Amino acid sequence: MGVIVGAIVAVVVVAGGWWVVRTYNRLVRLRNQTQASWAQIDVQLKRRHELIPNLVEGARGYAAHERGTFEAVTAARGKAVSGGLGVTDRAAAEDALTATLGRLFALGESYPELKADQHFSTVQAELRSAEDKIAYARQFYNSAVQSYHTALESFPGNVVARLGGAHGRREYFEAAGVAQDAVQVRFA
Amino acid sequence: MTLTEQLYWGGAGLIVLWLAVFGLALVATRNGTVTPGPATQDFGADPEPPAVVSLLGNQWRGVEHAAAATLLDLAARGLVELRQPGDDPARSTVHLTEAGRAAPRLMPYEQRVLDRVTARAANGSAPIGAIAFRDDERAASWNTALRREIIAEARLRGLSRYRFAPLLGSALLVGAFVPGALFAVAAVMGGHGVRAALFVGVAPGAALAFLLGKALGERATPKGLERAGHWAGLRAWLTAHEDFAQLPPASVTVWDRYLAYGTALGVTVLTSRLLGFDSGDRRRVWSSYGGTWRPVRIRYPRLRRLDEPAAAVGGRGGCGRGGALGLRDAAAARLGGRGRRAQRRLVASSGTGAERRLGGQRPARSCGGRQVQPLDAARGVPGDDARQLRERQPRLVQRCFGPRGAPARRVGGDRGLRRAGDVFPGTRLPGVAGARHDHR
Repeated sequence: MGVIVGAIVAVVVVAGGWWVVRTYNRLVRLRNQTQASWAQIDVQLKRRHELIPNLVEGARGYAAHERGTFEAVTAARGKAVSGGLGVTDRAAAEDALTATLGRLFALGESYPELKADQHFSTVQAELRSAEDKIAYARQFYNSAVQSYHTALESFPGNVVARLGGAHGRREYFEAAGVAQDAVQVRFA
Repeated sequence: MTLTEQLYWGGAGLIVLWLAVFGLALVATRNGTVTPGPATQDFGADPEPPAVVSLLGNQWRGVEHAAAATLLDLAARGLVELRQPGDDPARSTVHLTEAGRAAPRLMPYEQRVLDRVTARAANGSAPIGAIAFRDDERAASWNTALRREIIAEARLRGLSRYRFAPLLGSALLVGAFVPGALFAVAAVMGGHGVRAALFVGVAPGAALAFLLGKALGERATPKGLERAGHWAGLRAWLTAHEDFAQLPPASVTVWDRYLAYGTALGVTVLTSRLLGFDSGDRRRVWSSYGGTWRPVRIRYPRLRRLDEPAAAVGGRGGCGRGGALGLRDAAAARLGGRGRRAQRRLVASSGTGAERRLGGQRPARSCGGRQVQPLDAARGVPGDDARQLRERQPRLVQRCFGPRGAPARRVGGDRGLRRAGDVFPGTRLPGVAGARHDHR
């Protein structure tokens, strides 16, 4: 009798241990995935930051007196590349940079010579491609964070996370400010 | 050792030699190992289409999910649109867009997928479940043609090549029949009949040629292996995102080509399951009868009762006189006086053969100025054609086959019932064990 009870207890302990290990490993995997996804965003953002000076220099030759736009872009870029920003602040800085870049692209419409410039067009196309990639990287990151949070907050993940420690929530890379403003539609 | 014996032994030796050469050829032409690249979300410069990626992802063995991936790719490019009206992804619909109708020159396999969607979405949209074929043979031939087109594209891109060089393949094929020739000569010299000589002459060659045919296929090029490694990296990236596997087809509006590539690489389980270009579920089909798409459940009889009264077969009025859809039972009725065994023999025989015989006795009838072969309308044409006939000339079909609810119209066999359902969704198909359409 004692042997049977001992065997049952051993089986329960082993199964429980396996269950804890498996859940913990899944949490670790999901957490690493959020970090990897963030790294992808970082790569694309850096690529964009590197392209911006080329674009500004190219545009300056044709529209020298649009100084305000160039300074705004430079300032927004400077803020975006400054270290120590959290996810939310970084997202806000990048959104501000995107908005100022829009103004820079608009110069191409006002200055046909600038629009015809091959270098400007090439860099502009590369920037747009980089922005597309950033958008997808942001989707992947937010998806990874969502999966991680779901695992973290649902049973048994919440129990194991408390036991294991070092499992905190991550911030979503959310569009803020301009991008979230309601679209104003006016009919003439 | 006599000359005859020498010929036998020589043939056997040649078979062994052929097998050895064949084995060496297999080893020499096997696919190289794909080295997965680092997990990445980047497609790379000039990415291959998802259909070609499907070939690479399947180790050049097949193009599983290539059609679904191509459809998603077309959706990502705005040539079609996938919408999910409710919570159930299975009820998603595919819509033709203006861009799709005026699509520029597409690749042959893309055009094939678009044509299939266009054919099903004649009114502009169709449920994704309606894309599947209802005919096994048609599905198989369609997918074979698709595979051929994708392989052609992969070869053009330098990613794939024939497994055996033409010279090697030809030599192996010719060599496969040499031992048989020796056996045949030996058989004739040994005094055996011509039949025996033919058999020993052809059988070994056929067996070896079968082996050769099984081994034919595609193999990777060095560039193909490199690209396959890159796509393996994307697969690793997508697989690591657990939610990606359960994304519905309509999420292509958010994930664009990632969903297409995920499907091609076998990551998106749900989407791959729902977007089937195979023969589909025979028990749950979509019907557009009445102008609105809706799911239809079909129940097939499990057993055939041979003593089913033949009277249940006859149509009422119309042109069919007895109903083309009840040919087997009509045959049984004719043989009614000849005893159960005769009935059983005919009814249990191949439906095609029995109906062909009966078809000869039933000439085409003129319905609405058009010659309608009952046999063709019932069974000789694919299900889609029957549907088109019904849509274009509903009165004609009604006159020929009776109104909805007409009694007992069975074609015989599961396939026949399915096609009868194409013409008469909603019609009771009593059959023997109560086959019928249920509209949900």
